[in-house]
Amino acid sequence: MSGARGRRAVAEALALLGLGLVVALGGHFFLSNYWLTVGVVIAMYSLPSLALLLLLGYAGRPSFGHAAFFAVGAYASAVTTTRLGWDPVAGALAGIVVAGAVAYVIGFPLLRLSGHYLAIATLAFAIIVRVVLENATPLTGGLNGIVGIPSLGTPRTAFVLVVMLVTIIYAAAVFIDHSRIGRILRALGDDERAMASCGINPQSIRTAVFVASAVLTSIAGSVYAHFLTYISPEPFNVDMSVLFVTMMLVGGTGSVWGALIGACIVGAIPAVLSTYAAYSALLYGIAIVAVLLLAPYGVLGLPTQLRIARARLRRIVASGSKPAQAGEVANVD
Amino acid sequence: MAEVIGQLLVTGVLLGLMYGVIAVCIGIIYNATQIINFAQGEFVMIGGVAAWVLITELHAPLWLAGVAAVAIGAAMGLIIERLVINTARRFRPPLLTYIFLTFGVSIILSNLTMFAFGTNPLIFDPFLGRAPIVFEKISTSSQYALLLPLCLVLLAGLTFFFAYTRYGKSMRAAAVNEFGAKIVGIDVGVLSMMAFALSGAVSALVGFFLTPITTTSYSIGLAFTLKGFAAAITGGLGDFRGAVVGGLIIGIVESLGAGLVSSQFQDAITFLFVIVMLVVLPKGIFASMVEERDRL
Repeated sequence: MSGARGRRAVAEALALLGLGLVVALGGHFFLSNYWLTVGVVIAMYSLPSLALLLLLGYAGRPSFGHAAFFAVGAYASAVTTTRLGWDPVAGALAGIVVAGAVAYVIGFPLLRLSGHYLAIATLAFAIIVRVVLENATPLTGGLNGIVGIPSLGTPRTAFVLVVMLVTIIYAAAVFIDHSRIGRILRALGDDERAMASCGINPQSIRTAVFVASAVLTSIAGSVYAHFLTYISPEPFNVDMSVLFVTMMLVGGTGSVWGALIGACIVGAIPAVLSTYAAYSALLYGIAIVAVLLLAPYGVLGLPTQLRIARARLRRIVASGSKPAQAGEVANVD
Repeated sequence: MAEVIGQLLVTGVLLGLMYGVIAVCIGIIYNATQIINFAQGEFVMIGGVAAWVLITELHAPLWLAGVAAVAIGAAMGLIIERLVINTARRFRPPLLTYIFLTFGVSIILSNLTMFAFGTNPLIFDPFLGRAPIVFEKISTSSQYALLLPLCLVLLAGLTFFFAYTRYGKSMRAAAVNEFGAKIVGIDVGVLSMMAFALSGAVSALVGFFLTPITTTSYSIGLAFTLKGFAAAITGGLGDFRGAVVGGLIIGIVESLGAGLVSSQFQDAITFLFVIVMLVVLPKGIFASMVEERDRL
């Protein structure tokens, strides 16, 4: 990495680290326990949001099953810390290893699929994982789950800890995004034949992206287990996978920042509308449909969308002619 | 043992026929628009709920409840097509976008139903009373037995529609070559509307017949989408014969898995089978036929 691109990467990563530090310190000194808890939840969910962004934005592959990797992380942490007495960091690492290994094993056959085939396959995978968690009672405690997982401490310490962890991961992601690896990943979505002709195997890169996305989600799952200190299979359902997808789509899939912005907006919905908590799933559904119909490039794409709209308006005013219908250009085959 | 297996097979075949009909409904929309409707199961749910409202709340006769279920299914299909699909179409988004969109629609529909009718399972009496039908030591409820004529009539009707009516033939033409269909004057937008309405109506009718057996509630839609889609893929997406065969296979796998292995692992077994099918035969059993069609 060199020149202007390198400086931009360093600047963006530093900006993220600075922002994270400000948020962590600001939260530590000024936020109430309620908002600290909301902050931990948002920070935690920003990791699966980033994971799905990598998968869809780079590899062009959707997943409706990442709740399964979240559950793997949570259960790995819970089982190793409560039954084997491991250190929480070692437990989280165990989660990373298991989630990565599972993703590698299923990613190899599944990632040859795309579009709706992969959407169904990932959904099916998540359902299988949940059935196994519910029934492998000796290991997972079955429907009763696992209690007494070591806590992250007060909401204040948990907030600082989780925000710093997420900041470092995001800064690394921004840095990688601008590096040679980032350009290879981008090529994956653009032209795979050109990529293969440069001696890079798209299939193995795609599997690597899938493994990375599983690992990121698993880390969030470990945080979840230690933050709540109690887990059961129930929350790791399709709704959770959909929540991750919603965050990514709301933020916009154009850059790493989209995942963060999406997690902040969608993660804050239940907190801001806490009296309407029952409506949160409905709101996620509406958010998905509304964003895809009104702002297909997400919140992050809104400025560009506005600029294009304004330019079109100016052109129309300048020429004084009848405006073209929105569908007119698009319908030409 | 033979009786147990026979019993499981009968249940599996009846369930499977139903999955087959839902798979055909998914295929109707796919053929007309190339879209996979992830809200398909919600039509089944809404058909059951609509019939429940008429029968238990308004004390309407059975036939009226059936008509209402079909009408509401068709109306929902039309509304979704006009409000969501057609609006999205103006951007010419990638097909992936429609997966997210229809999934969003499915979440909205199931949650709205939850707020309107609660989370309790809804049920009404079987059409022909509660006495089971017994044949050679194999018994089944009369409502289950009704699924056989229902599915056969629906499949015959759809076959007739696609083979002999003008709109059915246009839909097949648009599926083979959308551009060519446009050239000869077929309005693809109208076909898309018809496909959603037809697909919604048939799925809602299945929901109406199914409610006395399995009950209905806001959350059942996704399972039907998944199993219907699993059936569609097993047989080959967009191939109607394949959809029925795929449905039968999924129904039998589910029934045998629940009866012989473990009912707790029933869903895991079904979906493991789906994943294996996706990986081994992504184009389905009737792949060669579909490929032949694509070459035309």
